[in-house]
Amino acid sequence: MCEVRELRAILVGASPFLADLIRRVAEARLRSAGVSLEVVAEFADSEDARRQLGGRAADIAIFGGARETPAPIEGWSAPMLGLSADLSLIFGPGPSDIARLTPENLAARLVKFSRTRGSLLY
Amino acid sequence: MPFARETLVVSAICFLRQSLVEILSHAPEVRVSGEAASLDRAVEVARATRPAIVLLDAAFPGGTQSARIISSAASESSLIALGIRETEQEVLAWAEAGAAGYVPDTASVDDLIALIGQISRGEQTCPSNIAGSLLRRVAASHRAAAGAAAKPPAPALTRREIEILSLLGEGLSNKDIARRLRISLGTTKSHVHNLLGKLGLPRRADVMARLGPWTERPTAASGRPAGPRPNEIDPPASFG
Repeated sequence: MCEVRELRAILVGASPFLADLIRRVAEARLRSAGVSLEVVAEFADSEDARRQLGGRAADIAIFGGARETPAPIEGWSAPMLGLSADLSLIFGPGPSDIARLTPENLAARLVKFSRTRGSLLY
Repeated sequence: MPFARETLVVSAICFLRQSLVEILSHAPEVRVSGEAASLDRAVEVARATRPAIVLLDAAFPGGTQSARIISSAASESSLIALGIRETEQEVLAWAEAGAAGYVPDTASVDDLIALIGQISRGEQTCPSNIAGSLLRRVAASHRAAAGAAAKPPAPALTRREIEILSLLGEGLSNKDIARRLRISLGTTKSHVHNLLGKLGLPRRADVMARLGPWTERPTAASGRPAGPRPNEIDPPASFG
């Protein structure tokens, strides 16, 4: 049996439509890489999310409407990605990491994180 | 399996366009026939593939103006505006730009797929205030059209009367008009009398008041009126 890892993600400041797009295009690609994507929480408000992320058990946080890689949050050690408001760029996980936002680029980052952060399901 | 509708996806946003193409390709109700990131490309693909549906991202550069251009290039297609704010003003603007339907910015991807099916059947789900606004707009357009139709037909003016109308508009007296047209003062008065009667105006001053923007003025270059010659034009509609 193939190994399957679970990647728990939190979406912040993404419209329902964008969240749906992210989930669908990422899920298909991650599945083929042996990764199961689980969106464990969604926050509409970025400030609200920053206050609550510290206590959440997740492997990655994706922020919509970002201008740069999201700033570190106290109590949160998992990587963070930012998507620009015009959906043209993807920021992170490093402060200088910037790439064109495409389904492929987003999924490639998530697959990469799943190898270091994701939990082994079976 | 339901009939798959040929759909052209138009968005300048790479992630949105690629994601939509990928997701819609798996929806049995839709068959993606093309995608476009620019207006030129959208028009080119729409003309070449004649899709049943053009799905246009509302954030596309040019907005409703681009919608008008694409609609006229793909007159047989139903244009769907994707991701608009569901306000009366926004919905009316897109409807007037040629949109056959819209997907609000609060919709999910499943909603989008369902709405594509609905809209292609000539249906649209919308809140009651939007429906009311659309009905009011249609009623107002109908009243305006009926009002225009109820107006009496524009009077038929002779070429000479149109010349005199133009000169009256310039503020010339009967004597000046007679001199300009090389006709007698009595003939001029007769023409002016007939003209006012046809136009239903009591005084010559009313001609100047109503002639307004229609009055032809000589151009600086030619010295002749900039507009068409008097015998080439109909009386202004405002006189009807």
